Formats: sequence, structure tokens, C-alpha cells
Amino acid sequence: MFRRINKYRKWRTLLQNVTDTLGRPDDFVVRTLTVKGYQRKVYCLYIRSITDKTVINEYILEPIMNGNFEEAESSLAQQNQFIQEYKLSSMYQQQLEQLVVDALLSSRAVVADVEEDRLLFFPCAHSDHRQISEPDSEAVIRGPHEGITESLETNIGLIRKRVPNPNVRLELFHIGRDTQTKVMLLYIANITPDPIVQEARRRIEKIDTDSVLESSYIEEFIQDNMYSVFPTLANTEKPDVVVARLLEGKVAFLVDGTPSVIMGPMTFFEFFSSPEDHYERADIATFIRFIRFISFVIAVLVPAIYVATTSFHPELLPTALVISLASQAEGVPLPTLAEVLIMEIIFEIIREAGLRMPRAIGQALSIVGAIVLGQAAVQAGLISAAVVIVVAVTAIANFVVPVYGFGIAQRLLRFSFLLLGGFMGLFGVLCGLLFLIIHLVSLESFKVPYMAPAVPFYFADWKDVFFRVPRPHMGKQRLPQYLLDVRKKSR
Amino acid sequence: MFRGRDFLLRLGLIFSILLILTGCWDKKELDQLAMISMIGVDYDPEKDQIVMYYQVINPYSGASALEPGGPQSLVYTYRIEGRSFGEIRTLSFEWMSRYLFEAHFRMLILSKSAAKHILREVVNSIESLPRAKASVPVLVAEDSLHDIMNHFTLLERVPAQAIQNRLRYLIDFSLYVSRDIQLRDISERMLQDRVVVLPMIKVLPGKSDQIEQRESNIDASQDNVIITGGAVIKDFKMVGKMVDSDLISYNVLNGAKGRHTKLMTLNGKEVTLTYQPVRFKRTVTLRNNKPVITFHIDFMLTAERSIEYMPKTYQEAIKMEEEFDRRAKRKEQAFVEKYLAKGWDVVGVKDALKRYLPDYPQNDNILQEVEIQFVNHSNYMYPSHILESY
Repeated sequence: MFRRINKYRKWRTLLQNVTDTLGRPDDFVVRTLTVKGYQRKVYCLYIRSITDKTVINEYILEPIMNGNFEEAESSLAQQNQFIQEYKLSSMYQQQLEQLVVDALLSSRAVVADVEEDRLLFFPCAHSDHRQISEPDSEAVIRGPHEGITESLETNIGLIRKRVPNPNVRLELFHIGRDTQTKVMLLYIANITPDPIVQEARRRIEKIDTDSVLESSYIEEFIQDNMYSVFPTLANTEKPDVVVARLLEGKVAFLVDGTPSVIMGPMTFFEFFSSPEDHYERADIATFIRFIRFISFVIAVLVPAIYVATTSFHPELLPTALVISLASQAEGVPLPTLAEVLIMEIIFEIIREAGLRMPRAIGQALSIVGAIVLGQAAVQAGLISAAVVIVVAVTAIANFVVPVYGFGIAQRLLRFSFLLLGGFMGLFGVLCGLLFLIIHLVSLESFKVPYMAPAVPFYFADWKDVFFRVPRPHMGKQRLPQYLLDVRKKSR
Repeated sequence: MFRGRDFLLRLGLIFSILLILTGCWDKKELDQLAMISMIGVDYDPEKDQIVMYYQVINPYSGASALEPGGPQSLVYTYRIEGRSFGEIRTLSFEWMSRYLFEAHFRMLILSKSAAKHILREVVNSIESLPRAKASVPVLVAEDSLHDIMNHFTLLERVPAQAIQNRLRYLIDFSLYVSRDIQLRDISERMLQDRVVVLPMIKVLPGKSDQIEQRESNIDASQDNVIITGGAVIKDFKMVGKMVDSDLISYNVLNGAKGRHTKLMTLNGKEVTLTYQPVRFKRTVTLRNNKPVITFHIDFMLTAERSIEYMPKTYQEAIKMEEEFDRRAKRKEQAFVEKYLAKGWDVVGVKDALKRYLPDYPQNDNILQEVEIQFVNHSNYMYPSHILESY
């Protein structure tokens, strides 16, 4: 049904249809230019709001009008599709229209030289984006303070400058039927095992969604188990962390418009170590890792154990402590489980409110929260002081783990264990722990056992998972054993 | 493993089963419990009535608790009378509004009458309680149990705590109290046909019966409880008493490792000597077909508390050691003769024969048949903290 028609007529129809498809928006610009000395018209189309006016004026419009516009791109650059060129006459109308619409919406300027039968697409995205700054959620005392931004190009630059390695590979995907969001798969070809890269590629290609507005959109598609509270992928806002993980043989996913990078595969114990550990001395870094393990136990189990022991097994507590707790419990109208549960929920409310509020008010809110909950509730005899201490210690311990997503898992687990402890005592807590262990050993991240190096047992990996030995003692092989296994199996 | 919905279903099913197994009905909040700190048992043989004293901690007395109606007593003593221990437990609800919680009780005090008549029942009833500990020390009241159970102690406000601390120090620094005074030691020793000596406690008479006046009295030698002497228990019955000086020999010959300081006259010179058994060994041999038990005890001697500046020379120290060994041997010999003659196996003769000479026939006169020897060896280790007294 398509037929070839006169090229001018074809262009006019194309222009009309493209304008209609875009809904005749105000920011759609069509400029008709006359090239000096040639007496022929050249059309330039772009969407004003998403393109850089300076680039269009200085590098496209002015050269065209002055008659010195030359297509200076080498054939290699064209392979990179920096400038795309099509022949008006060689394509079907509908196909051409779709190409133009896509190009315009992806911040490109479309230049049509109808006489020469050429259609050129120039990338003209304006480079207005947030300055590189230190991420609030991952502030460090020692180490780089740069943070990932919303711009994909900037982020790649931040990573590339840290690892000027020709083996760094970037693979671009457009995900989202409506958003066509750019997602970049990043890895170091001579380090990351091929099966991991292939698996990452396969999972990205399998994503079928209408939109990707944040990296978490793709995280849910590519993670191994969407019903587990435990994250099987890590995310960070720091380029040095990304590079460190890439050097450990992992892959990274950068999503355009998201100041956060997803990395995988990750194991349970790797969430307790942070690349920042390598910026500090080995002894203190090891000590801090143990503190993180202890904090995990505190964050998950302390409220449950408190409720279980005070409600079911007071005989397990030292006499002096049980007397002190009993004296605090006097006059409190609620059972211990209700006390702790209410306090935990109120704490979650305050935290959520604090996140949404402007920073100045957030601070005031935390003071009010601390005074109202901590002091007034105890003085009024509504809550016992020990419960406030338990909830406060738990809340603080929750923030120790370096990955925010893992902290969320801790919060959810804490409530589950709290209910188990409150209804079934330590028996319930123990049952919950058994289920947790069963669940953890059954998890995988990119087909890698989640509990490595504990299960399966890889003692060699302990030097940088449970401990942080000094770097000269790390050995040349930095790849974790589980990735070496993946590589060995693939051969 | 299972994935997704399958996993959640299985998890839900297992948790439902768990809910059937146990649940809220086992729960006892802390404010529902009457936490017992000390138990007293008395017995009236004429009426065949058991009198239980439960000293319960008042939770309102804690530092962070609210105190409705002003300052309150730290403990309350409930006196409940009944014909059996089970009956008394039921009757307790007539008196108190909380569930008796014995997991944290620290002290069991028996009246002399209870120690003589119903000790077996007391041990059995307490050991049968699901939450009670068999490691609580047991004492015997010298006089009125009622007075002890209703008496405040000084320094430590909870009486059980005060008595427990005193026992600990007496074990370590006096040799008046043995470590083997716990509830489980009674049953163990009785099974071995041995005696156990429990510390005795009594209230020193005071000027006032008023608690307020008692508390404001600065003189700690009045209105105070004191631990002195020992009650000899044999076959779950109190059979007699032991004075403090004999308690030292009893504890030394039963392997105690505490220390004792005493002013002694050695070689005609006075010296405050601290001695501590550091090695204890018991050997059993047959001599002329008669069993001979030998106690080998090494003592460490020090003059750390001495101000007599003695011994001055090495020779004096050697002489002092020899004199101490002789004295100790005399004392031990006298102790054993005195108590074995009464038929009280205070040094574990029967147990030693059972262990080392299992084929030797044991009869009622075995305590008289056996020959007991003592080999003491003392070592003077270090002198006083001051080099020369002024």
C-alpha cells in the first residue's frame, strides 16, 4: 500500500504527520533555512524544551545559513550513531515518521535537506543536570566525596576516570515502551566472568515494562527472588564503590535519570562490607565489620528477645535486671508486646515523616519525637523506659549496615520476629531463625549462592568478607571464590 | 527450594501449626508476677502444720518505678500456713494478688524444727518446682524464723542479697562456711550417707521493734542478722550443731579453698597468720586389713595481716611452718575423733571407702573401724605488707 512519491511532497506529508503525532506542542520548533549561495531550503526540527539551544544555533543553524556546513563526522563516529543519516527516498513513509518522532523525543535535532535527499539526526540534549555532590545517604569521612548524578554520561565519566581500562565494557539498552529509558550495563571484560555478563544481558533484554523512572524499576525485574526481603543486588550513589565492585568481578547497571547504580551479584555477607573499609586501616575495618554483624543481630532480634524474655521467660534474665525491668513495668497499662510494637510503629512513622519533611523541620520533628516518646511517655507511665531504650538501640543499629536496602530487610524482619517473640516466646524466635537460615541458604544472586563464603564454605574469601586483612596480604586474586567457580564452570 | 507463592503458603501453614503448639496463654507479664527473693520454711510438729514465708520483692521500690503513696518497703514477707506445700501454693492467692514466681529466689532459710522434721519434703517440693533453682544456699535459723524473715538488713536492702553476699565472703575469707550448702548438695550428700553442715543465722537483739527506728539506728551490732555456727544435717534431719572453730576443720577436711586469719601463738610468739588450703588429696589404703584414710593438705601461710613483725628470719619461718603443721594436725585429729564418735560422717569416710575400696564391707561401725591420718605441709609464702612495724 506504500508507494514512492515525490520527495518534497513526501517531506511535507512527513512534517505534517510528525506534528500531528506530537500533538502540535508549543515547544516543537520547525525552522526553514535558506543556505547561502545555493538557494535551496533546509529544514531543522527540534523540541525546544529538551534540546540545547546553543548547540543547535552554533553547530547546526549558523553553519547551514552561512553555507559552510559540512558533515565532518568520520565513518567510525557514524557507527556510534552520534550523527545518524537517512535518505528520504529510500524509506517508507511510516517508518521514517517513527524515526523522526523518536529522534525528536530523544533530544535530537532533525535536519532535512530535501533537495539532497538527506535526513540528519544530531544529538542536542542540553547538559543541564545536577552538579556532582556528595550523596547524603553515603557520606564518608575518608575517601572520595563525589556522587553519582542523574546524567548517564556524567556517571560513566566518573567511573571511567577511575578505571582507565580498555576492558571496561558499556552496553546500552533502551527499556520501557513509553519511556525508552537508557540503561547501561557496565563490566570489565577481563575480570567479570562471561556467564554473569550473559545472565545480566539476558535479564535486561527480558524486561517488558512500560516505563523505567528509577533504577528500582529494573531491579525488581532482574533480581533473583522478588518475594524475599533480602536484597540480592546492591545499589550505591558513589562512583568509587561502583568501581570497587566492578573490580571484584560484578556487573553494574546505570539508569539514565537515576543517581543510583545497581550492582550484582551480591552475597549476604558482602552487604556488611563496604569498599570504604579499604580506606581505613585493616584492624579498625575488621572491627567495624564485626560491629556491623552485631548491629544486624541487634536490629533484627533485640525487640523480639526483650519481649520473649520479659513475657515468657523472666527466669532467663539476671535477678537484678528482672527486678529493674519489673519496677519499670509497674503502672504501664499495656502488655510488653503492645508497648514495643507501638513504639516501633511510631518510630517508623517519625522516620518516614522526617524523610518527607524539609530538613529544618525534620530536625525539629526528631527533637519532638525524642522528647515526646522518650521522656514524656515514660513519665506519663505509658511506656517503660526499657522499651524506649530497646527501640532506640534497635533503630540506631539499623543504620549501621552500609547498604540502605539491607536496612529495609532488617526492619521487616524485626517486626516478624517481634510478633513471633510476642506470641510464642523464644520458641517462636528460634523457629523464625531456623526459617530465616533456610530461606537465606536457598537464595541466589545471579545464580551465585547468597550465603557464600559461609555456605558454601570458601575460607579463602573470609579475608575480605569477615575480616579485612591488609591489602598486601590479600593476594593477587581479588575475585571472590564463587565468581571463580562460575568462571571455571563456564570453561 | 520453593519459590514465590508456594513458599509463602508453606510458611503460613507452618506458622499456623506453631500457633497451635504454644501461644499467648503461656505468657506472664512482669507485673503479674510476685518475684520471690527468699523462702522461709517453719514446721509446727504439734499441729503438723507447715508455715511458709515468702519474701517478695516490691516492684514499686525500684529506682525508676513510680511510688504511689510515698516510699515503700523493698520486700514484703507473706506468711502462709498449710498442711502441704501444694496446699500452701493454692492458699497463696488468698494473700497475694500475683502469681508466685520462684525462678529468682536466692535463699532458703529453714527453722530448726523444719530442718529436724521436714527437710526431705522441703528439698523435694522445691526441686519439683519447674522454675526453681537447686543452686540456692540453704541456711538454718538459730532462733525465730519469723524474726529473720521480717528483718531488714543493712547496706544491702534486699535481705536475700545481703545474706548471699555475706555467705560469699565467709566462704572466701573465713572458712566458716562451706561452698556445699546449696539445695542440691543436701540431696547429694544424703545419698552418699554423709553429713552436710549448713550455716546458721540469727537476729541480734535490738532496742526497738519499730522498723523506722531500727533503720535509723547507727549501731550495726544491734538489730542485725548474723551468720554463725553450723547445723549438722544427716539423713535429711538436723542432728546437731557445730561451733565456728570446728567449722574451720570441717571445711578444710572437705576440700575448701578459702582463707582464714587468726592470731596464734607459735613457738611462744604471737603472730597473726593467714592460712589457706591450696592442695587437698585423700588417699585410702589397707593396713592390717583395716582401712586407712590419709588426708594430704598443703597450706599457704602468709603474714599479710600481721603487725607483729614475725617471722623475722628464714629459720623462724621454718619453725613456724612446722609448728603450724603440728597444730593443724592436732586440731584435725580432735575434730575427727569428736564427730566420728557421734556417728557423723563429717569427712566423707563412707564415700571414700565406696570409691577407693568398693569391696570392703561397710557396717554400722565403719566410722570407728577406720583409721584416719593427716599429712599437713605448710609453706610460708610472703610476709606482712609492711617491712618493719613501728
